Amino acid sequence: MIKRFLLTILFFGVIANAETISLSPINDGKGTIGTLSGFMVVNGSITIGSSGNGDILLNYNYETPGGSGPSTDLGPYTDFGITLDAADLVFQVGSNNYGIPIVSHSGAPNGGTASQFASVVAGHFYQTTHLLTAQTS
Amino acid sequence: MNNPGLIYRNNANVWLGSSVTDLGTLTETITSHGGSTPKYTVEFTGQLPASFLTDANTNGLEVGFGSATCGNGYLVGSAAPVPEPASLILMASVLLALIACHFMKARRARMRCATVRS
Repeated sequence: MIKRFLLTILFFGVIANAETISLSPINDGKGTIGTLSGFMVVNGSITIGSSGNGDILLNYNYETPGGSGPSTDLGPYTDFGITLDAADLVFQVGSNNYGIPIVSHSGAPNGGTASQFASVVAGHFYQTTHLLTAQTS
Repeated sequence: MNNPGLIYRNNANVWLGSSVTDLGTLTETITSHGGSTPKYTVEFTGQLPASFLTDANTNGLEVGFGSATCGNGYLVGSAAPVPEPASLILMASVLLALIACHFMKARRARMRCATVRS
């Protein structure tokens, strides 16, 4: 009886360690720059299994290459005369920052200060001392 | 990103900063759906770094993702800290102790009944 009960506790302990995080758009009234079909992220999810395996899904509406869209999959856009790049998936854990680039990027985009920007490879999991915002120069 | 005049969600975190540590590699799969919505699905699969998992289990995590470096189309998500294995073992120990107490009490009651009958 006790053995069965303990096994049940252990089973539910394992289940409790597997988790799915839903990613939803914020509704702050700031909308989207450019066409909806060109830029809008739709939704996503992050599933972390009990063994630490991750499955991260992101759905969004970057225009397919060619026509008015970028020249490569998830490539940069030029809009209002400036270049907008794909952003990184960013995790904030307590005071630590982590991130996974969707596309590789390096150097300083659009004439920004080179010392503030990392060179990172798509699909790698990074830890960083700080994160950049749209205002970072 | 040095684009004054077209700052949208100017305080949203969108990119990794200059100093980075590579913790490992996930497999990235990009699927284009042509004209349908969503047009792209990006999937990352693989083992997440142990240091990240430990950190997330202790502190919980917050996720942010903008489709572009202007903070456009911003997704958010979060997760609370989950019990660590040590906490689960402690919980199991406490429950085990409670069960043991229950059985000892029942045994004492049976012995008392047997004494009364004799």
